[in-house]
Order: sequence, then structure tokens, then C-alpha cells
Amino acid sequence: MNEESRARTDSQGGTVPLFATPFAAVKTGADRHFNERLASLCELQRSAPRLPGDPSHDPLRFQGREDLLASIDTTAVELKCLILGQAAAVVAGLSNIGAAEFAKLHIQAQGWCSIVQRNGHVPAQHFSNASWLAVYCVQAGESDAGFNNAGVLRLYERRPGSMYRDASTRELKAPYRYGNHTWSPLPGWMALFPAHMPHEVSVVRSATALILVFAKLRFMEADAKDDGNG
Amino acid sequence: MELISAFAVPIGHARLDSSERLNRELERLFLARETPEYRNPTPSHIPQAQMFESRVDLFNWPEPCIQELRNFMLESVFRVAMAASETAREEFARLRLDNHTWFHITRPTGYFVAHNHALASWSAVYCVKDGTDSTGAPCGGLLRLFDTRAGADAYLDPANQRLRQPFLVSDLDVQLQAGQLIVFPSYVFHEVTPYTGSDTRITVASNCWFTAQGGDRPR
Repeated sequence: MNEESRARTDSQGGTVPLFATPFAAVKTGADRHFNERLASLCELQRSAPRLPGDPSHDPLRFQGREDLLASIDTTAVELKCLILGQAAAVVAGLSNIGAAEFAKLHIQAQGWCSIVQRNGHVPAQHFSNASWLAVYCVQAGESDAGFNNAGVLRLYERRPGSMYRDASTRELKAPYRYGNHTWSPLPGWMALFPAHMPHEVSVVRSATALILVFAKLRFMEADAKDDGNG
Repeated sequence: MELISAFAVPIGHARLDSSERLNRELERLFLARETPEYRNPTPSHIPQAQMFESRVDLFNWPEPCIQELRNFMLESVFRVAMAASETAREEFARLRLDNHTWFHITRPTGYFVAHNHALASWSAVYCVKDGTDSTGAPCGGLLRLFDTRAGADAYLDPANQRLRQPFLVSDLDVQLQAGQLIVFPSYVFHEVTPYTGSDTRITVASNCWFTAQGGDRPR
């Protein structure tokens, strides 16, 4: 009996979450020195002359070029290994593909940094043509007193069935409750979720800039080719 | 070959003519009532210091400026709902329109997170003061309506990444101007992006639902 049919059998007599969205928060083990080197690399990008095709940015948020993970810089190479390794471990655990088969997959990654100053934010976004989005936290400060949910990664609720509520569904427990999901980035931690999920980073309220690296990921079979009939 | 649009979302726009006087009166009234007494005691989201949200009984206030706005907003909601419906005009005329209505005063860096409104059918937002300066420079505070087809653009190829309206999968950003009203279905998730101006942005929002006269209320 495979996992799926076992789950199906088990579900005959219990309550299970259906149509669930995976969201992983991983403590990567990266240390302070690594994050300091990475923060310097991101700041270096910010101070570099802008090139044609660079993403536009607002004064409170710098968005780096999308080739960060293609860089030969030692720190960027380490970061790529870190993100891809952690992401592969999480995704392998969510998949019915056997470990040996999964290990053969090739991961394509496109990454960039965001440096968000006090009162800046990362507006709503989601990504096409990628299966996963990793968000690695390089640097985060303590929010000023009195601010809740500042500088958090917020994934948006999108289930329209939440439109009807009664006394029984108003206060559902996780994972059934309706509402946005927030995650507070901490240096060295990484979040991973489907890239199509709409999300934002809420307004930062700390003196220390929030530095994040976003990475779009997709897993490809080594011999993947166009199998269309065109 | 016939190409049709399916799964469409009705969005109504209206503008109140000569709204300057009314907006001045509303602004004066709202600023005077930006007090704990008038603050929403049961906010649906974590309140921020940069955004004041009033109680939801605004349209019960007797002040003439409020009643003038009430007429304009509810009439507009009624028109949009009727235009989008196959229900006959005379049947519509027998329905009662209930509402929860409140005002927001947003100060620099204030925003409102993505949400929709359960147990309502139509939502409306009227702009009393847009908070822009004389140069008209962008100052955030966009009302962003999220595309209801979340995930529909997860896979794009060269042929579907530049779809034209009404087929384009994209959020709708609205920079409301003073006197402007937008009406949309309450199921549409929406947010107000951070206001980056230096003044105040003031809006009135309403959630509406229709009931049959004398019938059961759905709430």
C-alpha cells in the first residue's frame, strides 16, 4: 500500500486536511559570520552602478539583480548550496518519488536579494513558471515597540469559501482556519512554499534593514526534454 | 470561432459631481471623531497606529453630510448590483439594502492587509481625500483588488503571457481620487498598499447585503 492509498484508507474514519498548501520554515544552521558576509554582498549590489534591465526600486527597498545565485562569489555559491540543499530535503519529504530518483533531479534556481529599510515593504507578488519559492533571511532587526506583524512574510488567504461563516466556522483551528499566514524572518532561517502563492513582506519598523534572499526553484529531470507534439 | 469572457467580476466606478464641499465637511467631521469613542471596538485585523478605523454604524449618523454620502454610495451599490443581475428591476426594488459602513484615516506608512468580507455581497470604497500632494507624485495608498483566478498564471508560455483584457490574469490597482467610488463583490480579496504621502488619506468603506423585505436576514 503506497502513501496515497494509505492516507485514503486512513481518511475513511478520521478528519484530515484536504487540499493543503505546504509551508516550511527551516533553521538552516548558517552562522552569524556567513550572514554578515552575505549582508555585505547584498549591500555591495546596492552600491554598484545600476545597469540596464536592473529592477526598478523604491527608495526604501532595494531589489538586486536576479542572477545572485549564478554568481561565482564564494558567499553566493555557499548560499546557493544552502538554499538548494534545504529546499531539496523539504520537497523530497513531500513527494512520493523515491529518494534515489529524487536525488537525480536537477534544480534550477534564480535568486535575488531585497534590502528593506524602515517603513519599506515588499509588495504583493507571486511567481510563474517555478514550483517553489525560498525566502532566506540574512538580516532582521527588532521591531520598534508597539508594532505587531512588522516585517513579516505574509502569505495571502485565497479560499473564497471563507465568504460564508457561522458560529461554528468563525474560530476554526489550524490548519482549517481562514486567514493570512505570517512568518517572522530570523537570520539563518528559510521559508519554502509554492511559488504561485501570493505573498508580501509587511512594512518594516526597525532601525536595522531587513535583508532577504528570494529564490525561485524548479526541479527538472536530468534528461528533461520537450515532449510536446508540435 | 467565437471568443467569450467567462468568470467575469463586476466592478463599478462612479464619481460624485462637485464633491469638494461634501468632502471638506466629511474630512472635518472624521478628524473630529478620530477618538476612542468612535474607534471600531472589534476590528477584524490587528489595528495600526497609522490607520484609524471607525465603528461600522457610520450611515446611522444623522449629520447631513453623512446622509448625503449614504445616498450616493448605497444608490451606486444598488445600481451596480442591479446591472450585474438578471433579477427584474421591480423585484430589485423590493429588496432591502443593509450595510456596515466605516471611515478610515490613514497617515504616512499606514496600510491595510489583504482580506475580503465574509457575509456581505457588495463592498464599496469612497475616497474623501486621496492624500496626494500638488505635484501628483505617487504616494502609495493604492486599493489593490486581487485577481480571483489565483494561480492561473502559475504556468506561462510565450503565447499566454500577454493576454489582453478581459483575459489577462493580473491584479487591479486603483488610485482613488477624492469623490471617486468603486464597488466590487465582497468576495474579492483586496488590500490598501502603504500610504507614503505626508498628509492624510481618508476613505469610507461599506459592506452591503440585500434582504427580502420582511424576510430572514442572512446575518
